Amino acid sequence: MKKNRTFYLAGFLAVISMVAGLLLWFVNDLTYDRIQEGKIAAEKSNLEKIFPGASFAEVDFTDDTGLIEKVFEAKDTGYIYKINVKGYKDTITFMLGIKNSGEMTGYEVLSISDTPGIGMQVAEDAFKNSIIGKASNDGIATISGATISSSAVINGIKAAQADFNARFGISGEGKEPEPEPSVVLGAKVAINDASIDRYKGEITENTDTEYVVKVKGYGLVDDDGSHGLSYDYNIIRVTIDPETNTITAVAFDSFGDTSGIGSKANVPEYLDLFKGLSLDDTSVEVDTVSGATCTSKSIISAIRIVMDAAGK
Amino acid sequence: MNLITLFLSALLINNVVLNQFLGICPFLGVSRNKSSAIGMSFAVMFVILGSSILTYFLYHFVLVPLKLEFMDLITFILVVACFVQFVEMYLKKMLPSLYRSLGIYLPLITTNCVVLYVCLGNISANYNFIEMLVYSIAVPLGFALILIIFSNIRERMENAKIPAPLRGNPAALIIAAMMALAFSGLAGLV
Amino acid sequence: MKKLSIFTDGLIKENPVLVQYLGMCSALAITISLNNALGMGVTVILVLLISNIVISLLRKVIPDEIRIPVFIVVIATLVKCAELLLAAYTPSLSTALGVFIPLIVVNCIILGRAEAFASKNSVGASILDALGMGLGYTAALTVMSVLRQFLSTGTINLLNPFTNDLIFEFGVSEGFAAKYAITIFKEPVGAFLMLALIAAFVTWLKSRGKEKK
Repeated sequence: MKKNRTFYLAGFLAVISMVAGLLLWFVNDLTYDRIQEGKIAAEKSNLEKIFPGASFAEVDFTDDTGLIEKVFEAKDTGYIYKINVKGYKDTITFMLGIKNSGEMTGYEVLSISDTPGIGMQVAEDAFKNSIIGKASNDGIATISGATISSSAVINGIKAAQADFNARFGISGEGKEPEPEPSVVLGAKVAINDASIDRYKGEITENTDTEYVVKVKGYGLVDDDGSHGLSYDYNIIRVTIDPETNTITAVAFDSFGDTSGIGSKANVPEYLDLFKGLSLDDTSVEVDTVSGATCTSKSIISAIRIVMDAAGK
Repeated sequence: MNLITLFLSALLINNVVLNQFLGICPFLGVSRNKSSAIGMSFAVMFVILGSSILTYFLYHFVLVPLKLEFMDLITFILVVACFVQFVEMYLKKMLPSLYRSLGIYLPLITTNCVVLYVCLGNISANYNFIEMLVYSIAVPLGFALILIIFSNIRERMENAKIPAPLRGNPAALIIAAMMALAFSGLAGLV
Repeated sequence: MKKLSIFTDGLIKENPVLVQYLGMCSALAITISLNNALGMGVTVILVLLISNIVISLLRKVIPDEIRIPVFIVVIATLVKCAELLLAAYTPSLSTALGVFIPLIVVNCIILGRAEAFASKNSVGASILDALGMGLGYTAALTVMSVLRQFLSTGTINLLNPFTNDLIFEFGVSEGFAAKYAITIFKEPVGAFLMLALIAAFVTWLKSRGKEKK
């Protein structure tokens, strides 16, 4: 008798649960699509930028790094990853779109408040263009001078690539990132150009073949400390050949500008460009380094001072 | 997430009682003396740890494979209720001395929202197993901490002269407000 | 006459939040704005109403030994339905209320009414009881949220939860609010303090009424 009662109770509970389950299944069915739609509504405008016109759904993903926040599948088109990484100052949130063919086609930075001019470069077109068109197993090069922010973003991209490659069974390494050219040349400027005048300097020691010039760089050019106090003069050593009246070497004795930015001009690849320059003609146009224009002009100013002293 | 950060934030900064407003009923109900506060704290810790491990496995190894995620709430609350029943029965039979000290609090725990909150939180925050364990220990510890501190304050309040309308629960809520204020100072910790 | 008192008991004399101290978790947590309070109140009224009806209908069938698990299943089902429907049709409200929607399951008011009233009374009386208790709960939440929102921001507004359109807005000038808003009422501290003051006020009202008699 007691056993029967237990069975009855268990049966009753089972029936109640079954009815409950059916009801929930029905309501779930009714609301599922709307809830999924609601979940992506907030992101929709950003998703549309990457794959316009596709229909999106949030999907599960595998990620060991904890950087990926959400993954959206654009039906028959590709996948979009929403990724949060720690930049130099703050969290950088961005979206990366990878087509089903494995081509990375979209990169949109959603929020960033990094150092203007430095970390912010990860939100600029140059960096975006270095990503778009690459395959899902290619490497991406960091931005020199914004290494922290750009390598954070690249780690996020790697996490997305790992998930994407796992989805499609892509294995193996793709192309290595192309090494960034150590010097990117900017606009040419004449040695006697008026814009050089601000970088005042003087010769501190000289022999027949060597001049040492103490010249203002980016930090001191305005003379008012407006660029901060951590700057010093650039001490530049210019070696000449009095026979041919040409420059044979330009080198820094002491570098006083911003490291990471101005130091892009303090590389042999750039300084060697002045080799063989005639000391006689101050109207000749020479190269500057893109992104390090002030330091380049400081060097050019030093050369002009030497020309004025040694030239004919 | 860093496990220590997770632990400290669940224990102190997002304290269940003072910041998430959960478990207020036992907080007011059993905090009149120290011994019942301690008994309740241990019972809650035990039930939360047990039921969150159970629900974690049920969710990830039964509900998700069967695509029955929408049954989570029913499953969890039944698991909690059954777990409490079993613990009660087990204690009664095997450890009668412990049962006498904890027993009366056990039935109350089924409707303690902290238990369900931890079970649901483990799932919605997508914790892995270790994080789930840390979280399921930190939250009830935070509950116990507040409950025990509060019961000490309350024992002394018995002798205080309080205006009639404020006596009892309103005064207790004001103490809770002051504790919340004190604990909000810990927000910068993590 | 007796029927009416079932209704008014829940609303005033036995107000679940302010007198019985039930369902306080949600009363403290979500009363930051009037929107949340009304959303929560209406959801609880509906869940309570349906659970009371279902349990009252089944009261003769449910075996006594397992009545609590059955109540829990019924309530959990209704709450999950409410959660899904809210997420689908009022996404912003659903985000604002967050985990407190599923936690309606353990809101003592609902299980308490099922056990104490609906399992012993007729359907009609259970409906009245649910409406009274539900409205009492909503009223307490509304009072708390209006005071908290006004003191902490200087404005009170109500949005249509389906479309997010503004229904009405009332408030002091922005400059005044910026200067004098008591932002602490947005914080947990303010929640505890406000509930304490309102509860004390209700206790005082009740004691005054008794003295008169």
